[in-house]
Amino acid sequence: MGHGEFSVIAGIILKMILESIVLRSRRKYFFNKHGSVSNLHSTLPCCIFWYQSYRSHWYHPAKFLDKSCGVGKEFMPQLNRMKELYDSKQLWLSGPPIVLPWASIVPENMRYPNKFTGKPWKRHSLSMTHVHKTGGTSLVTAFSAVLSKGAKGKRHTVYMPGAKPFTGKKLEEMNAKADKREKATGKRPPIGPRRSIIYGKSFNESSVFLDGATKYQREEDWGDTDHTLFAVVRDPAERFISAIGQATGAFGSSENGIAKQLLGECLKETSRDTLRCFINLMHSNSTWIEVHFTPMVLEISFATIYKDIPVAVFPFQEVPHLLAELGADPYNKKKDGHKSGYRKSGVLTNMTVADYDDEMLRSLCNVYKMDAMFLLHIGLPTMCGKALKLE
Amino acid sequence: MTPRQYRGSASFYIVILVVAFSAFYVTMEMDLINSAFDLQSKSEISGETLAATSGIANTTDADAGTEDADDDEERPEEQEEVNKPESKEKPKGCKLFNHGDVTPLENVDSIFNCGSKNGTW
Repeated sequence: MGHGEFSVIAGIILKMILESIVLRSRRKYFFNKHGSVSNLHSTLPCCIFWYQSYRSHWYHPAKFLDKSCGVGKEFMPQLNRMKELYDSKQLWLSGPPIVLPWASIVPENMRYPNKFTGKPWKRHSLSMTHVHKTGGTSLVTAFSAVLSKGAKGKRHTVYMPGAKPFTGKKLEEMNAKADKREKATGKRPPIGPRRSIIYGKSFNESSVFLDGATKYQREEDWGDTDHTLFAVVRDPAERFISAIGQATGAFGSSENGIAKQLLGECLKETSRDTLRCFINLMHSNSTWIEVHFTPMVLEISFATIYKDIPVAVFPFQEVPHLLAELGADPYNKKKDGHKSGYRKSGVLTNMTVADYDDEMLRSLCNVYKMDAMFLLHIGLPTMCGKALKLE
Repeated sequence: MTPRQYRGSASFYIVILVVAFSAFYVTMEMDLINSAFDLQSKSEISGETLAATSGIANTTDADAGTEDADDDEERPEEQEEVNKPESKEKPKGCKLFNHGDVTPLENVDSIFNCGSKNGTW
């Protein structure tokens, strides 16, 4: 080995050690401050050369939000607000359905090899709770694709939100259609938006399905109803930028009923001013105005129907590996906010985390404090840790 | 000093450095684990004490997490209210609260076996 290679290897090892020391110190600070030890047990046999080998983390949403002893108990009022909105059929109107894709893979039944991992298929049963703006659309598509390759499974729907009331041109169009229909048939069809479906058949099926959620098992131990449920999460500061792009009418959200209003109110000349306006909007109008702004903690709790079940949590950077595991192209993004033309304005396309100044970041992190605490609780870093002095 | 000797010395010092850091790291890791267990027992005690004196453990959905020490100081009447004699049912506190099992399954090589050393690619 030459001197150059040796220096590089030694440098990498030193970097790994130093970074892991910093990471552990931050976690120690967080644990001291918030009294959570849940993730420590997994580090017991830790060795320095396993650095960053913990790419997924177990999360217990019901325990995190336990009203008496949960690390996130202070966020119970927001959780209760979500329940109220659901019960009054007002939750996430005009938003996408909340789904739980599921695939049970039995290697003998797979019709094609997994060319993206280059390894044989594993026998396991996987499901996912779709946290918005974390690569979920690509993963949901991958779940569907793996079914066509021989896996068994289904896409469960936990909630089908209704639509917002018609206004303006849309209302005029609907009235005109109703008039025509009335003239032709003598009966006037009811005009009104689609109503949310709550506690319906799909909800009940999803509930039964979630009862089978389990931690990962040995290949021979998977029962018919068992499945490991996973979620992908992302730094709230990054995710917020992606959510802005989506909520303002990017692909899949043009009919969300608020995109134009958001653009009219907050699209400014620079990315920074636009970002600042949206942060202020979260404070004045809350995160309930559009589903993509919902904190990840609430999304996970809602989609798991508040059940006390384990969720395997992956950081956003691991989406390509998850796609590969499902036999999908790891680099085929279904939604890419930085692709020219995907978002409604160049100002939105070019928005990055560099547009936050300290005050903006602190303000945003205050809105997403529950996500920051959740990420630190399971051992993932976040820009909000420092901003909120949580670490 | 020839280049070969130079490389030899550099290698030696780097190995020493790596070993020293490893020892430091392992100590830190053990310290972290020990302090976490200490912390757990401390927080259990303080949680219980707090619960016994204030009844916070019996908070409802609506008021969970909204207690504010400053507010309490400014509202002596409410302070008297929470210092009422304890009910027969003792507040449980968080002593036995289970934050959830995060241990991986041993000897299972999968990215979904969270927390395992084999959960990598």
